[in-house]
Amino acid sequence: MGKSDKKMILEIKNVSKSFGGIKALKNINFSVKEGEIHALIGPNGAGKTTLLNIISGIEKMDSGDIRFKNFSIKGKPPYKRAALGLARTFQNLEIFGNLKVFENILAGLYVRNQKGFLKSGITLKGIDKDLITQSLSILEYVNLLNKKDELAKNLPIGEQRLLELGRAIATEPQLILLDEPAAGLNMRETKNLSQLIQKIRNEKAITILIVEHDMELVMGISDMITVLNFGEVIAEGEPIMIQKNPSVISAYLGED
Amino acid sequence: MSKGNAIVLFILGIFIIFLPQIITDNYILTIGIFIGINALVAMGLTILMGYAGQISLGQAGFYGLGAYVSAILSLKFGLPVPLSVFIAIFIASLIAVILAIPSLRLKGHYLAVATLGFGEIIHIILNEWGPGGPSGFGDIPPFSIFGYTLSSTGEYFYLIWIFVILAMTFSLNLIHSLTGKALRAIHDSELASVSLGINITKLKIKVFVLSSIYASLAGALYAHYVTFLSPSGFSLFYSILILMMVVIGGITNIWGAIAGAIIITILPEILRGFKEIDILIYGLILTLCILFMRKGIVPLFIEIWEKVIKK
Ligand SMILES: Nc1ncnc2c1ncn2[C@@H]1O[C@H](COP(=O)(O)OP(=O)(O)O)[C@@H](O)[C@H]1O
Ligand SMILES: [Mg+2]
Repeated sequence: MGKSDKKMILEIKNVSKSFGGIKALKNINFSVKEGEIHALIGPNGAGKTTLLNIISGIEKMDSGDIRFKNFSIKGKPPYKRAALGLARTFQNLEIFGNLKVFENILAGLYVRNQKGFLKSGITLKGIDKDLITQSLSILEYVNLLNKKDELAKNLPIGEQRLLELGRAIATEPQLILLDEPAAGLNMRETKNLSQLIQKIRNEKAITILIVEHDMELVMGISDMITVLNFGEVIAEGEPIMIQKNPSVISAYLGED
Repeated sequence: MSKGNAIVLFILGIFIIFLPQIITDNYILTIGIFIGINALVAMGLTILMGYAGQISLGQAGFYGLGAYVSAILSLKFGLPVPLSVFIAIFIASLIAVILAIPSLRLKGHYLAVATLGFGEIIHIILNEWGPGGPSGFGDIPPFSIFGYTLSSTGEYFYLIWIFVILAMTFSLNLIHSLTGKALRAIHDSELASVSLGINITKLKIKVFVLSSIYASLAGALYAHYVTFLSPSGFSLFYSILILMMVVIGGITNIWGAIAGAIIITILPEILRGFKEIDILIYGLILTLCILFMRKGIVPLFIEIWEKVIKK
């Protein structure tokens, strides 16, 4: 089966967004294939985070459309997108610092396992054992099981990034958006992260859209790369093609 | 609910059962009743502040609404008291929904402002249109159920504390459920919470409605206990008093509501001996509490307890 036979899980269509006078995104078009690791790269300020915010529903676009699993999710609030199978992590970490590590995962399990407010109030036995077991097995999956009872805010950055990833997995998504997951990680941690991302895609069949500056990581794991510069798509292709693309090279050289 | 909480709740239950048997002094039982009433109102605000990250400055409004509606329905319309109480709670929670939808949709502390206004409006309405106006009205039917009318202070003590324990059970269950985790998650990061599929607006509204249910229930029970109402007990001052109980007890632990209610209710009684300077000492103690026990008494005690156990 050739790659072109695969379905598109996410389609970005003519998406534009400005903040006051700044045109953060200008008529963006690209699609993410189901089962792929798709990277979104570009210099600082290119509009990558803005685009992820728009996809997850935290930010509203000015015009355009976004289709997830063949349905438009335009105007849907973020919590509904999550219920549809869209998860994300944050460039500026957004962990639940005052919750224990395993409770962070429980918060991720909420969307598929909630009982309702009233029922929760009259159920004496608390959270199902089964959910606790699930949260621990997710922690094992992201290598944080030994930290399960620590307050999340006490974890070092690298582990907080893993926790965000675990929490995203807990929502049973079909697509995860990762915003600079390797920022603040050392070389060994980055290598582990890269293996973990591939494991998630391969074993759990979750599609990944990753924004990342670490080129070794991006080139190593991506099936497809979209390059953004000043709010525009300037190139798209497989890693080898992108590395040779002159406009990509000049965009990155122009940054420094 | 966790095992520790279940044990504490059980001990509290035993204590409540035996207290009126041991203590026959009505003065002490009356204080016990007011502690229970205040604890019920404070419990709702504790969940709202500690678990939904919102502040209400209008709990006195729900408290007054519960009291007046239940009193009027039973006195003027002849409804059975339990039904009046139920309708009063229902009306209070409807108003809570109406207040919450516009103010909780927006980010920030709009609810604090909206409830402040609501509390004042209720206070004005009670003054202007409440039976007897500012001087209030009496002859409110005492609490009766299945043909039995409660009369002794001990019976009212049981009545109030049964509801406190029921509300505590509901609150503890909620807090220790998956929904409780979601609520605490919202407190730490709304951005992450919505991205995980948590409908934060809806959850916050539900918590606020719960707080209005506790407050209006407390108000209705109060009305049928004292059988006389005037608007003065339902002003902003009472909302602030409840807020103080919650802060001193500690917003991160629901037991703080009971601890805070005990302290704030008993303190003025103890300080009576100091005559003119009682209000000064009262203020001083509260200020010291807030300065040196920022997290509140219950969380502080738990912290100390855990340190002792580890050693
Ligand atoms: N909330 C905002 N208000 C104003 N400008 C913003 C906001 N968010 C992003 N921008 C601007 O939009 C552009 C794109 O930012 P961003 O999406 O964060 O870029 P990237 O993630 O690619 O580094 C930048 O010029 C940034 O300053
Ligand atoms: Mg960014």
